[in-house]
Amino acid sequence: MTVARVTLPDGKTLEVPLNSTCADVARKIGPRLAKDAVGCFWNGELCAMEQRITGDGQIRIITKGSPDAVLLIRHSAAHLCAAAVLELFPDAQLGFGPPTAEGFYYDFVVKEPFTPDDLARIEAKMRELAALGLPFERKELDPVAAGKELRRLGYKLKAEYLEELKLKGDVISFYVNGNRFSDMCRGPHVASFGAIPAFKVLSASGAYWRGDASGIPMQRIHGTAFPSEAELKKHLDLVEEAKKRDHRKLGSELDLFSFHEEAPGFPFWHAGGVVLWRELTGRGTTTTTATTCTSWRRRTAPSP
Amino acid sequence: MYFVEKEDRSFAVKPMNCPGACIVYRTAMRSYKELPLRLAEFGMVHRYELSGVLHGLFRVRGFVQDDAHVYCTPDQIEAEVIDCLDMLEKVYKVLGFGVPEIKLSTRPPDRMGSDEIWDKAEGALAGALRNWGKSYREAPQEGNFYGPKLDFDLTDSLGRKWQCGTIQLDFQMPERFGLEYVGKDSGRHRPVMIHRAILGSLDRMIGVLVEHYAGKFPVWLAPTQALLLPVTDKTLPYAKDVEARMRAVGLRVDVDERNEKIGAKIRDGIGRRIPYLLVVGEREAAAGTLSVRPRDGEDRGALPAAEVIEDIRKRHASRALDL
Ligand SMILES: [Zn+2]
Ligand SMILES: [Zn+2]
Repeated sequence: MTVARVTLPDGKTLEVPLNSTCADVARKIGPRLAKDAVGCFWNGELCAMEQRITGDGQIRIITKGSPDAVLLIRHSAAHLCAAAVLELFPDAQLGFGPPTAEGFYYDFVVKEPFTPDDLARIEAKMRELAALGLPFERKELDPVAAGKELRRLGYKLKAEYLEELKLKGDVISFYVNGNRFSDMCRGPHVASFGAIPAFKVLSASGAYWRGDASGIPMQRIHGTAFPSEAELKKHLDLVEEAKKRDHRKLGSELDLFSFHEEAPGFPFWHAGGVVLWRELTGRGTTTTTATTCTSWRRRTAPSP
Repeated sequence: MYFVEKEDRSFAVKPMNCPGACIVYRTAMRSYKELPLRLAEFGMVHRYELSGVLHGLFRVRGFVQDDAHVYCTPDQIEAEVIDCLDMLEKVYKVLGFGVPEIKLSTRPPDRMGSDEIWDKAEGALAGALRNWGKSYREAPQEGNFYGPKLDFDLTDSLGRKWQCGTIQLDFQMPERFGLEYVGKDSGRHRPVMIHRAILGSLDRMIGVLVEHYAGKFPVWLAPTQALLLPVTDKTLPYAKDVEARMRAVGLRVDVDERNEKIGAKIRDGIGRRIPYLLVVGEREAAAGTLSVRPRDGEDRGALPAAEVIEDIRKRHASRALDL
């Protein structure tokens, strides 16, 4: 096989020589698209346009103005967050840090959970690094050299992860921001730390390395980033409003339903909530099907 | 899943409704004349979720689905899907949501069934969507291995997306359950199965509605639709009389009988997000009126009680979104 078949979002396909890049595909579609492309989804994964095509797959190209372009900003902000954490907590181990529909997160192994004070310091450090500009520079290594590079950087978990994949002949990309930070990543990013228009660190929560609850506990920093301060503010206002109308809070305030330790994950419906059921379904609701054994055993004497 | 062992047999607490529908289908030899056969239920299902990921009504371990399974011939798919879309549009409108975002997921590389049946099924879904006239997004290769599907995302008042509705074609389950019907040609054929849910999980939908409305439900959903507020004990009998008249026409109404200042009663009523606060002073009692304070908007002043009751009743019956 010397060519790869690339499926476009409209279902059409085109063929490119193996080891072409996504940028080559964009050029083949049209010069205008090639110019506006800032990244792409290759087989559903966010990638830089430098991504090599090593087999058949599907592509969806992200252009400057498209809604997905915000992913580049968030992806870049995740790097900036990790850079700041490593400067403040040099012993921290990096996990992964993807962009999300709402912002980004990055996972770290640290001795102590992050405090609100730590988060404020991390955000301040992010602003300090952003002020320095620090362009994202792509560097490509083969898997063996990439493993060595990760060990050199002290990214033990990432090195183990890469070795486990047993990749051969692939290109592993790193993104380096001056002499301040480097991370293994498929991209894409904005031009530099300084080119992230608006960002904010939001919270920290517990997580596990690769989502395995019996594995290594980590701390996840959640943040978000937007193309402008105004959009960031609008988002934060919405988050604040969503908190105010959190159904768990309103559910108990309005006496609709409640949750109890006797049956985690099973709502207990109150009279007001049953009205909602009746209106939506024309009938009432079933009560919870499972509660802890102790809640049955607690009744020691038969009731009259 | 949750498992139970009894009498040397192992049982699972039902995680999905579909097999039950297939078992019901199988209880008789079906003829093409019975198709499409539509089986709908509010079915409770149980899924084991790690305790760490449970989240109010959004992520639970047991929930009720508005689930339906339609068994039909390949030629009937399009008409059935058009029916589902009609119902879906009506339901979302009643709930106060706009047009959903629609995604058509087509054949994945690894799949079962002939290209012929996939062509037919995808063509039927696309045809039904065109007939419906709403724009949709196509997701090539994102279909289930057992059939193409439609997904519907609702946007709430904060702009958040909630995947609720789904219409999924299934070529596999009829095969696994050995479902057949006798065709016009007297031969045995396999029906196509359509899974469809409009609200998805009822429990989750209630959570979405609470947040969409911030607890300020339209009249038809509000647990208490109106609260009568007697200013003093003297007007309590009149308030009770109006309450009885409202209940008689099927409205959910309460009287705040507490010995509190009217201001405090109004504040509590607002806190409970009750659509209508109806203040009853001596003047109202004498004139047979009610002073109407809708939850949002201007006070309406004193209006004849019969008129107020009829107005609320009409909004309830028509499931009006405004007060
Ligand atoms: Zn990156
Ligand atoms: Zn089903």
